[in-house]
Amino acid sequence: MLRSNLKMITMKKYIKNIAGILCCIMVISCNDYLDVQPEDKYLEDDVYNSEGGIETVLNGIYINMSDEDTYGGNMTMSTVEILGQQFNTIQSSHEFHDMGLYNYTESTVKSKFEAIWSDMFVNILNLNKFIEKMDGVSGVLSTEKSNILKGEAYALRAMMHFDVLRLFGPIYSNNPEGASIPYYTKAKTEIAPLESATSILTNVLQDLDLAEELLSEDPVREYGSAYIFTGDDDNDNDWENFYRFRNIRMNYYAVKALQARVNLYAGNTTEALIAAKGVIEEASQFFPWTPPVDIISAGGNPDRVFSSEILFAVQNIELYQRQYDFFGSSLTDYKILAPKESRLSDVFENNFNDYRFNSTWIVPTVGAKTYKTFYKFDDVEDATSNFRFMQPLIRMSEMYYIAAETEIDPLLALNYLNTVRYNRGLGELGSEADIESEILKEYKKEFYGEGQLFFYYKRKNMTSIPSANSETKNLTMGVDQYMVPLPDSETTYRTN
Amino acid sequence: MKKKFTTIRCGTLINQVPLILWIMKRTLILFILFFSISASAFSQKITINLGKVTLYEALKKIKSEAKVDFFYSDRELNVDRVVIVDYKNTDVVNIVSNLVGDKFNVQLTNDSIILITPVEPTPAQNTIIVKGVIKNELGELLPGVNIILKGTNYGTTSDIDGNYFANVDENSILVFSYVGYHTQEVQVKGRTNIDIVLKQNVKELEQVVITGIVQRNKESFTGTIKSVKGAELRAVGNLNVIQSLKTIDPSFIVFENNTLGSNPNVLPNIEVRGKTSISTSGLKDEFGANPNQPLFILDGFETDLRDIVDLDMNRVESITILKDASSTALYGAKAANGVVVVETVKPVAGELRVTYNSDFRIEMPDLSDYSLMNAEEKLEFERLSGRWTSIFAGVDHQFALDQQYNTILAEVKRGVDTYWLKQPLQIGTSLGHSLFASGGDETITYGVGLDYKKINGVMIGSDRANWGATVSLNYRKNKLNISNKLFVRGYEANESPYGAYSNFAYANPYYRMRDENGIITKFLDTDTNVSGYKDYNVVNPLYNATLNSIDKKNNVKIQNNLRAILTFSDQLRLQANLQLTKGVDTHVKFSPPEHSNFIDTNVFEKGSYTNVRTDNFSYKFNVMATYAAIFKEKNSFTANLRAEIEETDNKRLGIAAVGYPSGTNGNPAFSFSYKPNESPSTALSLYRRVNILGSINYSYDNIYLLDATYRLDGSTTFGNKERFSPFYSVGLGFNLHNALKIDKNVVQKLKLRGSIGSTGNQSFGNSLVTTSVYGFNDGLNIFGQGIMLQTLANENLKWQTTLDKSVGLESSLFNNRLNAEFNVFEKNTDPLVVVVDLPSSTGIYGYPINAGTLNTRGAEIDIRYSPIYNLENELVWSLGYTAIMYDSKYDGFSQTLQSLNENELSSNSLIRFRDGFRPDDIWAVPSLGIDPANGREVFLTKEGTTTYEFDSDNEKVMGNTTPDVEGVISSNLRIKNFSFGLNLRYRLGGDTFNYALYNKVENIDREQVTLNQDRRALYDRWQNVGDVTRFKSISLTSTTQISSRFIQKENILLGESINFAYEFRDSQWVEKLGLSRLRLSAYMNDIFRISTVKVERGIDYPFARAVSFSLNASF
Repeated sequence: MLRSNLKMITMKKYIKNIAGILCCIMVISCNDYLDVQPEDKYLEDDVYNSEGGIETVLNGIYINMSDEDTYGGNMTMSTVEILGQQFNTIQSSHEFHDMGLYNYTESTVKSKFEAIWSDMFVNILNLNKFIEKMDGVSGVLSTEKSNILKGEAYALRAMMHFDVLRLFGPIYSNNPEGASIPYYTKAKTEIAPLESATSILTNVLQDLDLAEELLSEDPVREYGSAYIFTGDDDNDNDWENFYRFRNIRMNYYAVKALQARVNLYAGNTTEALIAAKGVIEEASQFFPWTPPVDIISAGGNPDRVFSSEILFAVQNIELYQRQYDFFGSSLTDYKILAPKESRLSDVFENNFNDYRFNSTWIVPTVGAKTYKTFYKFDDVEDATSNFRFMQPLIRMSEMYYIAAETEIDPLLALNYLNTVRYNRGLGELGSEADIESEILKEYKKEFYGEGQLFFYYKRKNMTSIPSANSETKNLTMGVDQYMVPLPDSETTYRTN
Repeated sequence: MKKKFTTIRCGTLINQVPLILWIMKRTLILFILFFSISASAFSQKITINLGKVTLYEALKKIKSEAKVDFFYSDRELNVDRVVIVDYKNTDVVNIVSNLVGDKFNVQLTNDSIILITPVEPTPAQNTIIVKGVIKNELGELLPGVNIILKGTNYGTTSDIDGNYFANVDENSILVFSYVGYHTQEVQVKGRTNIDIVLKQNVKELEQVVITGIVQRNKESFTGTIKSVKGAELRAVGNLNVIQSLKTIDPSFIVFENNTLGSNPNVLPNIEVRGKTSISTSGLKDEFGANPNQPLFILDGFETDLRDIVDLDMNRVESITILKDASSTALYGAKAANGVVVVETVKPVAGELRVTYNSDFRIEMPDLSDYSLMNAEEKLEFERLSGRWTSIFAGVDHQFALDQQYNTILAEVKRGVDTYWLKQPLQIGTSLGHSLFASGGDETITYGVGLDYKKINGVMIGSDRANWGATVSLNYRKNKLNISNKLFVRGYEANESPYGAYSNFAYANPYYRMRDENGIITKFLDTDTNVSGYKDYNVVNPLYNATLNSIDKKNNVKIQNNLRAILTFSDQLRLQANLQLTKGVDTHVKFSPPEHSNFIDTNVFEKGSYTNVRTDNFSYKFNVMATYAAIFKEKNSFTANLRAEIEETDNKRLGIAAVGYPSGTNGNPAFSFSYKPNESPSTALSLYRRVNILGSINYSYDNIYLLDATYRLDGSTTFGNKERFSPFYSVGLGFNLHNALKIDKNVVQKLKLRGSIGSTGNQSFGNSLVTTSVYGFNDGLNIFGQGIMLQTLANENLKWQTTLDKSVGLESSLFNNRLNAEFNVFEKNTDPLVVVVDLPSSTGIYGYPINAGTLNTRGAEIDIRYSPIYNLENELVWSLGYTAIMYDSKYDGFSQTLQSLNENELSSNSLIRFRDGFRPDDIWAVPSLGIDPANGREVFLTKEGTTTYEFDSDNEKVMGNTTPDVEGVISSNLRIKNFSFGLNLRYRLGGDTFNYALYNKVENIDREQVTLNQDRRALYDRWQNVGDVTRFKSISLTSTTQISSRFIQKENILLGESINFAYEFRDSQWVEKLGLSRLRLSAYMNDIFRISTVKVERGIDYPFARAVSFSLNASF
């Protein structure tokens, strides 16, 4: 009896000790142990608590814009240009053959629009998240900086929705009230309804107004695109790297230019003219015409994109790879993007002195091509050139075209056109010139590889446009050609 | 006793009696171990053969041979006993020791005097050496059986192969006892060879349940488990444990991989008792596992499927499959799909024993399911499909087509008919060696194992080499037991340079493999002008294999398991385990610049090299206290309390280099550059988990049984608000055979048990985050790099929990001749974690939500009966039947999940999620067949009308891939040393979507017309008005929609395993080889397959039939 009691006592002691050890382990293994920070990812809250983090988020969106899916390919050099009949895709085995025929149900065509749509909205989601978080952070950034970054985000959101609308929306002049695309202003899983084109444009303009206000202190208005700040006051030090190179970031003038572009698309000619004129007046000092010497006699460093005139570009680190993939002279005929020789001559009205022609269109020395191919985005010898990797999205000349199109006084309008022509090495047009058709000709020459021509056709609802696959024939255009159907990834999951 | 000598016969030391007595006493104290022989370091070896002589003469002879003297007392040592003297190169002391028997100690002094002293004061008797093999009724060898000389405390144990040796008196009685078996007494009666078959003790049958965490008494445990011995696994096959396990347990289902066939480098897809999760891609992160795969435990620690598949089968001691909540709740958060617990062989004390196993396997590609067109048929098919009819106006194009057609026709007429299918194939062989040595004494035991296995797959160049080494040490003294196991293992795996096998099935038979010079050309045909098809460059599928491509995986893993057990008393035990694992995995891929992948690639990027290295390190530590006690004789109680922490750190780094000159070996130094604008790929993840577990087992009088488990799991989930999740189980059991006083000779066991509990599923890795996460995107600009949202948080996401219910009945009847087990189960996962795709305009992909439930119900049957059960003559014939039936259903799915349906539809996959439907349902539009008038398919609409138009809205469930019943019928026959086993798998009532009919008979678009197809595409398709056929018009190249026409009932009979084994025992030649045992086995795996459906199997890698052989030898 005594013995067993003793045993029980020692047993209890053991249990106590064991329980003690277990408790220790429990304490060690409490929440702290489980609080692991991932090494290859960043948690949302960690990102937004530093200036560097915030900058990296915004920059991520710019980098993604230069992706081939959107502004680094489909929206500039390839898909949208094919729709605008800029390149010959007659070969039935050509990657873009069905695209050139507007066969929107073909899987090769579908995949391109799928990519555009998805990637645009991924960017929009990121912008919305950025805007949402920027409203919440305080004390990390000065108000001035915060305003600029937010302004950029609002403007980008507007620009992307606008470009999606231009592509997937209705022909605005025909059917402004039809359901078009959704407009997302929140980073949520809630599905935004398909709104009318009018309503989308209202949203776009609203966002642009907001952006204009937030960007009113944009350093671009003081320093221009500012590769290096040259000012002598101490204030300059506040604007670090992240606020330089305003021409490869959404800036105040780009917002104004977008207002002009959007208003023109919406048919608000007065507003478009005001905005365009505003840019011309205020921004010309910072975005001067590119001197011909930089273009045609710069040796191995021709500025083929006319970089000084670009109001907004994205810096596309893969630009020269894309140049090879789309326009490389060693590509086979069923891969290369090149216009028919005679069509090219037509576009430039057989005037080969145009700076835009002789810098960009060259019969290649490499490969077996006997015709001129596109060199606008070819690399240059000087690796330190500031214009390398520039993927132009908005340029000064467009403001002149918009002003010319919206100006009621024909002489003033002609003057806008002639200003551009002069800076392209062309002679002045006489007063007898048909402004509208001259503007169209200019769009064709000016925006090769920049994805604007198709939208011009669509805005004007032109029922007949020249086919790129033929020397002479025209294509009949209508809703079926101009309006790209929403991709399957959208329609199959959409319940409303 | 025949004679009594009173004189003391002795050698030179006759006058030193006191000393001798002292020595005798000393030896009595020192030599406790009855059987062990202590030999002096100065001993020498002699060869001596005298035949039958008296011991006296023998000693005399040895004395002169070995120049030694003997000292013994003939009062104690019977020197007139006749002994057999036949020793070759044997130690003198051993010889003497053998001759005098084990009642005496033999000691060699420094003066070359051999002392023969009795170890106990009993009178000397006639001792003989008795040896034999100990087995159970199933013929399995029993290691570690206790053999005691009756009436004494002296005894020995059997070795790893069930062999024993004992020096005993010829009239003594040996007592054989072993846990779980009836103790058996055998009178020696002068026999020297006594083989023993121990009968299993029903009351103690498989007494211990190994759950990998706690040990439970089998009789009082309420969980549903299947316990399999290593020998049983090896009897079925010698490929890997997974392949054998599926034959033995009905609920362990290994799915056929129709794409990758018998590729030795592909991991199987396994489920135990059906699904608990939706297995869509995107659910798991890179380091996660299939969410329906069971959890694998190797020697007490979690491991991955790769390790289990690569595990040397000969090293497996036992495998236990834990199926229901009562057993799996011990593993809490990861146990929803069941747990497979593998224990490896432990070293056995005793003399050094060496076991060697060799496995040889031959695999033959099984092409019987392929039925492709020959050259003539193919060309005719193309003609009828309109390949040679121009779609353009004008004659130019038609003329060019005619020209090309005639060129090919001429080739066909010349007899060109290449059988591409056999080109990349070979007879696969694999050879494995496995060596295990163990020994030691009561305090320290050791084991060393080495294994190597080289597998050559049936596709040339596809191979795998596994190797491993183990060192186990076990120290046991008093209360402390420390054991350590060190594993080093690895593999090297190569993929075939021939690439996907489907390329060969698609290759046209009318092309020649080689050109007129006998060279394998890059293109079989090049023509970009006339065809009108994209990239009309027909690549020779053999061409890439002529290049020095590399696709190689290397892996090395070092693992150390340390365990310490402190036994305070019979009641209380404390145990701690620590595991450290370090693994490195490298995957190198090189494609030379000539490879057909690079036809259109920039010259700077022709040729590519990638190297991905994954490093992982993990530690796991747990401590457990076990308390066991019996109160008032009838109340038996066991309790465990356990805490565990673990951390796993995975790191992956990958680089890619491009641009190679031709003819290089792939060294990245020869490349032109990194892949332009790409950064090295990385993935880093750190998982941490903690858990605390409490479990009790209580039984009253071995009649009423109770198990209860509670586990609290915590794991790393970034910012998760619910870091900890609790799991529990309760099990009840009722031993009817103890409760009802049934005749013990009729009913040995009748047990009813049931359990309920909750388990979790965390195979998803860390991907299901509840906070938004950013990651770096590709590229950069002047402002540096950028990050983008990778995941948008779902703050309300909960872990999946499965409620598991199970009821079972176990019985053993008629002296164990009939064993039967029945189980029914239900698993209900609520909520499910489902990844949904939203409209792409939300910018959100793979958004995890909790939606719906998945309910799986089923039943298992396992019956074994022995019509012949004659143990005395070692004649046993047993029949076995296993079956599983189960059905899974979805419920509670809201509208959000609709999106998933559409997603799966567009990818042509057939898995749907709708309330009331099953995960394995096949959805299709009902078809009325082909209209004989025009060769078009007629569909049935929802409203019951007929239409030519396909509309996915008319889809219905037209079948289910889960069979009604599946199982194995087995027969095992043992006649003395010969055994024969047959295992046939049957699968009844499942439906299958016949992809061969769908993709290779129909649905052949304009581009695929140029590829070879199933013969039925030519013969069974509609051609003329009035043809009554199952397949649409041969000229239609439009997409065939998924309709009920392609769904077929599939009944299968599969020759899963046929095996023969012969064991050589008591054979002179075996002994002469120095072997104590030799066993030869032959197996045939998947040797035949009878199916009601004809479908191509093994699309990218063919299936194989296997014949294999094993050799098992012990020294």
